[in-house]
Amino acid sequence: MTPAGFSPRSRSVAVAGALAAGFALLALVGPFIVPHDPLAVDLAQRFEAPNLVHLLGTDHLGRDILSRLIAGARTTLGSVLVVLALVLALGVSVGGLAGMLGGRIDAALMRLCDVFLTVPTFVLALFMIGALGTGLVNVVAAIVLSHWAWYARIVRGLVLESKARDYVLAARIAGAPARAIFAEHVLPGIVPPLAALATLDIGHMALHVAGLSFLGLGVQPPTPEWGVMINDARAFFWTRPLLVVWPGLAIALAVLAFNRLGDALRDRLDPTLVAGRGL
Amino acid sequence: MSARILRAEGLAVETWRDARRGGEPVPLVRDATLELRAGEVLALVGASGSGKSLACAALLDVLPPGTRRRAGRILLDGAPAEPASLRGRAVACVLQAPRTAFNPLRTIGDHAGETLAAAGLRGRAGRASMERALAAVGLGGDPHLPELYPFQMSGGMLQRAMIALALLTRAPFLIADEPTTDLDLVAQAGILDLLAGLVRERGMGLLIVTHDLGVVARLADRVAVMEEGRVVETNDAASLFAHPAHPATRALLAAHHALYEVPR
Amino acid sequence: MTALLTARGLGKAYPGAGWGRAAPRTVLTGIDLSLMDGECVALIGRSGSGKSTLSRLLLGLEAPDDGAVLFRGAPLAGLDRDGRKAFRAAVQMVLQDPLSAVNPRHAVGRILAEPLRHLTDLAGPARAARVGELLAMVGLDPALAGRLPGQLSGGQVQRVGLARALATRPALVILDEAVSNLDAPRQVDILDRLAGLRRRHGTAFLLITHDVRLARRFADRVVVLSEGRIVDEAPCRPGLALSHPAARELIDAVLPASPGVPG
Repeated sequence: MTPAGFSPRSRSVAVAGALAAGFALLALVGPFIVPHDPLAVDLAQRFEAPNLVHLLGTDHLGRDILSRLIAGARTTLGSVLVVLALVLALGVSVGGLAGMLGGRIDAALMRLCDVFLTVPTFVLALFMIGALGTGLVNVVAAIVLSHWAWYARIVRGLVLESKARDYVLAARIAGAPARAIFAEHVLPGIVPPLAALATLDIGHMALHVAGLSFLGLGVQPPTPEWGVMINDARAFFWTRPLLVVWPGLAIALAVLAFNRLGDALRDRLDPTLVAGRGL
Repeated sequence: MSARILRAEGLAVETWRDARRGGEPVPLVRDATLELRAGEVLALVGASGSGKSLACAALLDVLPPGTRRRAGRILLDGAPAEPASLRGRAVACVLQAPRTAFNPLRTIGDHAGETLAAAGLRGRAGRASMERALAAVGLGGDPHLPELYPFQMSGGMLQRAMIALALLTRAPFLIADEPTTDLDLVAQAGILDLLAGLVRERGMGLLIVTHDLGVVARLADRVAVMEEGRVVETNDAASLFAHPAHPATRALLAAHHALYEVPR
Repeated sequence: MTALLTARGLGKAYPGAGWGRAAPRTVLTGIDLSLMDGECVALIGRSGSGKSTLSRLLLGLEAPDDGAVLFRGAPLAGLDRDGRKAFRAAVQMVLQDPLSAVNPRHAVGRILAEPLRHLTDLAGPARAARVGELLAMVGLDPALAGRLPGQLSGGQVQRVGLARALATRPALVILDEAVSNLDAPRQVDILDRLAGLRRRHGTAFLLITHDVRLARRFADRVVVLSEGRIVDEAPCRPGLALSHPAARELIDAVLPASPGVPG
């Protein structure tokens, strides 16, 4: 690998990494560093242009946009983190079980996955919200339910691939039970590709959270969230386009940063995709 | 008229990935000289890691990533030649693992078509020479063979098919790097008989890389022994087996003969 | 005397490949084979003769369709948990490709400790001591325990694989083409080591190979497998007398020892 910062390629990765780290930091400490209360309504100051007090201006209720963006990072990225944790937990358990046990259990679990894979995220979300009401928890549940099966299939494939390796056969001959084979030989090999995949999916899932919130199904106003902010600003798009631009830019940057990082991770973990580099 | 002598002079190969990081390049082949004549089998032998495969790769300009040729030149009938321009024209090659050398998604006929196109042969003339080549390697019996995919063939059949592709190039020299290592002994004997026949009947020059002195005894006219990247001894096969001069040769021969002993 | 390991009428078929319902492919039929304690048997046959399948059945890694494998007289299928553990510890295997048979992320010490953890009651310090002992037994420096397989030479990894198979002091070690693809000096080195182990510990070996030279040099008895059946069998000494065409084919394929001399 070339040292970071030399080729344009590694520079873009460094920028993406810094951006992603910045977003993660915002999500972590955002509420403590916001310049203003993101919920404080001040109708006297609505639609202020960017100025020294309100660096990005204020919205239709006079709330500070920068503060709402910072606080929104926690809502959006935090819920994505929960989604990913649940999706990975479910995916690794079901996919791991199916791959390790094989036979009828494998077949049954994979049919179950197929059922979940046929349901589009938005349809499932609409159904759940219709049945259980709006809210972030239901949106998270809907995204998890429509994505875990995809991870389960990938994990199963990775497990089958690493199960066929000679060193797994050698471990069986060494008396290792299936549990130990999975934990010591199979899992360490599938963590890196899963990490790359999950990073690639952060942007994708952030879009889902923001998109569902934009439609008014997820996070409810006045909670700061990027999708909610775009929805709020929609009515004023022709007169105050900047109100849409700021949260839109935040979503775009986050998605781009995490995608680039995921790509870089995948390249690094799968050298066959980038044959010839570093030689 | 086709070339008679292929000579590699003073070949040197070293690692260079480390060199770029500021480390010392490690020499892998040092000043290796090999001369291959038409109608003769030259065996290149040595223990694992002695540099014999790398020397061949340098001759063909197909060195693996992370290594580079540092010195040496290739002479075809005494005239300097670019290794890359020899490949597929004056020199054909057969590799160790036939299964990985074929594209699994293409039939044997597709592979042959590619080789023929490179040689400028198309259509009926191409098909005729493919049939002749397959017959020459003992695969002529089955008219459907060109339609087979690599996974439908045994290792021995694939290696024959690879030799057939090498014949299609009409190159006067053939380089075979451990061509029988992945085969069982019965398939190996068949391939060696085939190679011996090609040298005898077509007057090809064959350079065969092997770690098995049994292969040398079966096939080779002359032998070059490598150790730690150097060619330490070159002799005709009978003299080398009877009077090994270099300690590396003696060690290889001692182990070789030990395999034929039956302990009491 | 009960045999160490017995195959009785073993048969195995795999489902047909490809689309639709292709006919199952029979790999082994009616295999009867007995291995005694301390005995050294070579199983020879061409690629595709069913050698590897037979070794997997003998190790209990797959269940046969017909017949049974008996460990000291008891069918493998009927063993309880302790019985299976004792069987695993007693019958070990060295795989064909040494480098792919070890987890590249595990250090040598961990690789060698794996069978000790699962199959013996040795505690931590005793395991570490045994790992050192095993490395010394195959002629490696015990300091190598901390290295990863990628940091060793091919020959060293081969010996690590052998040391792992010996970790539980097995009564039988199956070598599945584990010697065939090495160069002659390494083949002789490994065979001599195995012969030494056999003298010291009375370990039995099943050498699976297509090379009659190795069989003749190492084994007491040669069994010939062809198209899934045992077609011939003979002691190695005084001279190997095999008559079945499949056996003759293997013997004739042995390359000459010297130019101009038939093999």
